[in-house]
Amino acid sequence: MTTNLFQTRSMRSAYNHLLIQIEELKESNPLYPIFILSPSSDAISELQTNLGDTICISIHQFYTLANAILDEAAFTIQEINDIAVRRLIRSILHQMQEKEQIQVFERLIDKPGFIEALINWLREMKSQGIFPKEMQSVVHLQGSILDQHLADFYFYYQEFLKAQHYSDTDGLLWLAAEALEEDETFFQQNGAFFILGFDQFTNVQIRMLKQLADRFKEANIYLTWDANRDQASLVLSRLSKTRNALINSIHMKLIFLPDHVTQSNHLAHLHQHIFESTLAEIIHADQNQIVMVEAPSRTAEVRHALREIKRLLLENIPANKIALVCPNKQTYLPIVRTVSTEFGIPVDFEHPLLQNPAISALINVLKLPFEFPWQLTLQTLRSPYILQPWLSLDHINLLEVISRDNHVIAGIDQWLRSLEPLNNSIPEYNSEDYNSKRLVFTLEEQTLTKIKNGLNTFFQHLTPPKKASIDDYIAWLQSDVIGIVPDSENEEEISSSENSLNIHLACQQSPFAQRDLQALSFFMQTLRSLHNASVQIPSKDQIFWQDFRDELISLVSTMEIPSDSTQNSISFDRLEAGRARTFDYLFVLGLSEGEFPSPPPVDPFYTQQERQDHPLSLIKYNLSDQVSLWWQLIGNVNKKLTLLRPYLDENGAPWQASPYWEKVRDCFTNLEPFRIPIADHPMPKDAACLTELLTALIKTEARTIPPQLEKRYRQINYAKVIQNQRLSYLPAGNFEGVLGKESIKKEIIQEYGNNHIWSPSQLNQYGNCPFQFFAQRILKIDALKDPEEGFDSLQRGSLLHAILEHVYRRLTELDITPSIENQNKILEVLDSSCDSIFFNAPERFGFHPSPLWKYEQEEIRRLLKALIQWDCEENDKINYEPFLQEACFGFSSQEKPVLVIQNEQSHLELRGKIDRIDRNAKGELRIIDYKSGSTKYSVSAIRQASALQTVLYALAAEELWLEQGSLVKTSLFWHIPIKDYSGKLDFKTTVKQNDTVKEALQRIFLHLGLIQQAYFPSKPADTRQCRQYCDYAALCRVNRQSIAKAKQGDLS
Amino acid sequence: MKLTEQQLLAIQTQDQSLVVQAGAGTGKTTVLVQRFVHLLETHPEWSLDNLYAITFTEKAAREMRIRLRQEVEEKVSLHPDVPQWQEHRLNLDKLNVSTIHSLCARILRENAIACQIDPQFQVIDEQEANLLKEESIRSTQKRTILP
Repeated sequence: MTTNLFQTRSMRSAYNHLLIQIEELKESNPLYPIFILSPSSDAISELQTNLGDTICISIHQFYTLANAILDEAAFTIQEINDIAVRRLIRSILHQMQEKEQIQVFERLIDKPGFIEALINWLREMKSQGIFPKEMQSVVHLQGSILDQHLADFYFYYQEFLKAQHYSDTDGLLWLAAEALEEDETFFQQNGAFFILGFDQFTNVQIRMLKQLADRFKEANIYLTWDANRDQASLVLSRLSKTRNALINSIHMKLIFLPDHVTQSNHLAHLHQHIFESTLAEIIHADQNQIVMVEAPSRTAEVRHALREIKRLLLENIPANKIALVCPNKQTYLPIVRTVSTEFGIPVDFEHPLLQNPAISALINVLKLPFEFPWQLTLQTLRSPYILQPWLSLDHINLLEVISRDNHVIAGIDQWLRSLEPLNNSIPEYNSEDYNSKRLVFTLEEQTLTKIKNGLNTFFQHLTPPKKASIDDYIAWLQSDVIGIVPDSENEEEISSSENSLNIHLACQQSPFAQRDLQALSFFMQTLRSLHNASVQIPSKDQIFWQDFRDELISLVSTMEIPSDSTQNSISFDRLEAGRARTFDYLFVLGLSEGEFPSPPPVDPFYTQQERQDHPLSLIKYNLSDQVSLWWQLIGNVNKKLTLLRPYLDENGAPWQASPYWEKVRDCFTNLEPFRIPIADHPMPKDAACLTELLTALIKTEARTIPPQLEKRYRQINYAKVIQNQRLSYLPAGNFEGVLGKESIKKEIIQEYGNNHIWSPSQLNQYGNCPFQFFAQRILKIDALKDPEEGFDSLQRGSLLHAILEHVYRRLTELDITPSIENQNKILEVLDSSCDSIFFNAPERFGFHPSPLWKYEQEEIRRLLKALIQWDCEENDKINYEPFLQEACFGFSSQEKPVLVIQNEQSHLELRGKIDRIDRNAKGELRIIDYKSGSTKYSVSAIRQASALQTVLYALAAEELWLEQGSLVKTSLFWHIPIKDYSGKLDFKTTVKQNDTVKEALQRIFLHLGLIQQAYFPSKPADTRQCRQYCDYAALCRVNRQSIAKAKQGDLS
Repeated sequence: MKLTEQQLLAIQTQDQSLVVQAGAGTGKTTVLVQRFVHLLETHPEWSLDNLYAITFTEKAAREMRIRLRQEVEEKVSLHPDVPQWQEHRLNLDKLNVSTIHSLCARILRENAIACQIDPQFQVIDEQEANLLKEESIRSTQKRTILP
C-alpha cells in the first residue's frame, strides 16, 4: 500500500505518466483492476479516448465513486433529485415560517435566488462535513440570528432526509467517507488508484481519498506543480493550499515528475515564466505557436476563432485536438452557436430544450388553459406538432379571419360568440372606402357549426381540472397532449389517438424526427423527475393547474440537450474546464479587462471577514483561483495558443486588455496582437461559408467564379445594381414603384381608369405617398393588426363622428342654433346623444371595451363638451345653422349622384360623405370635415393634393346642395381635440374659381395621369423621414435620394 | 510624474471627506489612484476589498482598475519582502472599482437577506421594463377598475 503524490508541470506530463503506468500494469496482468478519479465528464471522455479498449478500468467522478462505495456497503439510501431538494427546502421554510422561526428571511422563502443560495450553502456545509447539530450548538452560543436560522433549517432538512433514508448528491460523498471510516476492511481493492485533473479537494473529498488510499495496492495522485517556482508564487497559490491539505492528511511519497516536453518551445517558455515578478528571460515569439487577436466585437472575435478552427479541420486536424474556451459561457454561447452553424463546424454545446419546436409547441399548449388567448390558440392550432383531429386547416384559416374580424382576445365565450352571425354586427367606420362584408355572414351555417363544434371540443380537451394531483396532471399531459399511453413510450409504432394532440406521433413523422424525439424524451424525463419528487417529498394532495404548469415550465426552461456525443466535435466550454484537459490547439475568447480575471461571485450570507471570524471553519470553494487557472491552462496546450479579445465594448468605447493578456505579451519581445478593423470582411481565401465567399467575391469584383456559384453570383450582382440604383439620384426605376410593363399598366388602367369612382381619401393617399397607394390599392396589402382590448384610433374617430352627427341632427330637428344663449340646451342634447351612442358602441364599432371604457366615455364627453362650447362662441359671430349631417353623394343607395369634375382632356368621378354642412340666413353654406387628430393641414397641402376634403366637398356641395343664387362660403377641417380648424378655404364667388381649388384640381389630374402610367415612387414627407409610423415601411426603401426622385416625377 | 503640492495634499489628507475639483486632463484619476495606494500603504491591516472607488462609466472604471493593478504590482516588485503588498497582489481580482450602478447592485446582493430581496435579482433592460410597465398597467386596470 503506497501513496504517491506526483507533481508535474502540466496535465500532459500527468497523462503521459498515467498511460505509461497503466500500460506497465496491464502488460503483466491485463485483468489488473484500475480505478481512475477525474473531475469532469469531458476529462473522462478524453481519458477513455486515450485508453482505448483497455479492460478492467473504472473511471469515476467523486459522485459515481461514492455511489459505488455505498452500493458495496449495501446502504439502503435513496438519492433525491434536484426538484425534490427544492421542494423539500420550500416545504421546510414554510413550516419554519408557521412556527415563526425564520424572521430574518421570512419574505425570501419563495424567491428562486434565495432557494439557490440555500442549496449552495447546504453544499458548503456538506463538503466540509459540518453536522447540523454541530452548527446549531456553535451558533446558538455565539452566532448571529441569521446563523441560528440557517442552523435550524439545516437541522430540519437533514432530519427529514435521515428519517426517509434519503440523501442529496453532496450527502452521498459524506456517507461514503463515513462508510469507509467505519469499516477498514470494507471496499478493499486489489489494484491501483489514480487521481488526476484536480486542483482542490473539499474536506469530505480528502477524507474519502485518505480512506481509499489505504485500500488500494497503490494510490497515485497527480497535482500540477512547478518545483522551479517559489511556493509563495502567484501561480501556485491555489495548488499550494491543495498540496498542503493532501500532505497533512495522507501519508504519501512526494515525487517530482520530469517534464516530457511535447509542448512547443515558445509555449513552454510562456508556461515557465508567466507571472514571474522579474522575468528571467524574454524571447522572440513564434507566431505559429502564440497568436493574439483583437476584434472590434465579440461576434468578430468568435468569427475569427471559428474561421481558424475551420482551417485546421480542413487540414485534417482531428476535432478533439482543438478547443474553444471563454470566461463566461452564457455570453458567448449564442454567438458560437450561430457562427458555428453558419460555418458548418461541429461544436460541442448544449441546446436549450425550449428551443426545440416540438417542445415549444407543447409549452404553448400548457399556456392555453383556461383563457385560450387569441394568438397562442391559433399558433397551436397551426403547429405541425399538434395533430388535433377536430379542425381542418381550412377551418383554422376561416377561424383566423372570423376571430380577427370580431376582435377575439381571449376566453372561450368570445371565441364561440364570434362564430355566431347573430351576435355579429357590421362595424361602422367613418370612411368612404369601407364596403367589405364580414366573413362570418358569408359562410354556410353547416361550415360554421363544424368550426364551432371542432373548436369547442379542442377547448374542452385542453381544459384540465383546475385542481388535481401531480400524477393526474402528468397522466393527462402524457395521454391527452403528447399521445403516449403509459408503458408504451418505448414502442416504435404509436398510432394516432382520437383523444390526443399526438405530439409524439408528430415528432415521429417530423423531417427532424431524431432531434424532436430526443427533445421529447428529455421532456418526459422532466415529467418523471416531477413524479419522483412528488413521491419523495409528498405535499398537499392536490395542487392548482397554474402551480403545476409554472413549475413544469420553469424546469423545462432550465433544461439543455447535450450535443451528439457520437459526433467528433470541437469542445466549447468555460476556461475552468480546461484544467483537466490537454489540447493541441486552444482558442481563448474574451481576454479583455473585467472579463477574465473577474471578481469572485457575491455571497449573500457572509462577508469574507465574517467567514474568517466564524466559530466554524467556513471555506468557500470557488471553481478556480484565476491566476493559477491561467497558468494551468497554458500548460495544457501543446502546439498553438490563440488568444482573442474584443477591443471595443458594446457602447463602442475602447476596451483594454485583460492583465493576463499583458502578462503573456510581457514574456516575448515581439508579440504584437493582430487587430481586426471595424466592419472588416474576409478575403475570398479566408471565407468560411458560402455567404462570406460570395460577399468577398463581389467586393473584390472577382472575374473567375467557381461554376457552381455562378448563378448566385449573378443574382447578387443584380441585387447590387438594384441597390446602387436605389441609392443614386437617377430617376426612380422598376424597383422603386415605377412599373414598366405594359400589361401591368393595362391592368391598372382597367381599375383606375376614367370609369373609376374616386374618393377623397384615395386621392389624398396618392398625394401623400404614391408608393403607399400602390401597396394598399394595387397590391391590396393590408396590415393585419392583432385584436386588442379597447378601441383603435379609427374606431375612436368613428365614435366621435357618430356623436357629433347625432347632436347636430337633433339640433336641426329641434331648430336650435349653436350659440352661447343655447349652450346649455345643446349640452343636454350632447349628453343624451352620448348616452345613445355609448349604449351599443362596442357592437356598433366592433371593439371589446377595455377596463377603461367607463373612463373613456367620460373623457369623450368632456372633449365634446369643450368643442361644442367653442362652437357656440364662434358661431355667435357668424350665425350658421346645422343643415345636413353625413351628406353622401355617389353611393348607389343615395339619391345624390356621383360628382363629375371635368378638365380639358379628362374627367374625374367622385363619391364621398360630407361630415356636416351648415347654412346661414342668406343660404350660404359652410362645409365641415371633422378630424379626430390634432395635426393641422396647410393650404399648401391642399394645393399638393394630399388633403383634398375641403376642396372636393365644397365642389360637391356647390353642385348638389346649393340653392340658386347662393354660394359656398367656407370649407374647413374641424379638429375635435384642439377646438380649432385648419385648411380653411373662403370662397368669394364659385368654388371652381378659387385659386387653391384650381391648383388642387390641376394636381389631381396630374396624379390621375401618373397612376395610369403606373408611377408609384415613395415620397417622403421631409428629409429621409416619412410619418412616424407607416404600415408599409417594411416594403419601401426610403432614403435621402427619394426626395430628389419624387421631385423628378413632379411629385414634390 | 512629479506631483504638485495640491495633488500631494489631496493624496495624503486622511480621516476626512475630500472633494477634489479640477479641469479635464489635470490628473484627477492619478490623484485618486495614488490616494488609494497611499491609504493601503498607511493602513497595512486593511485588505484590498476594504476600499471602494466608483466612476461614472464602465470605461473609466476599467482604466482605473488597470492603473491600480499596475501600482500594486510595482509595489510588489519594489518591496518583495513586504507581505501586505504580496497579499494585495493575490487579491487583485477583488478590486472594488466600478460604476455606481455596479456598486449598488453589489451592495444589494451582499445584503440581500437584510434587504429581503432575491439574491440573484437581475437588472432588466429598458425594453423589458416597458413591457413590464404595460403588463402592470393592464393587470392594475383589471384588478382595480373592473367590478
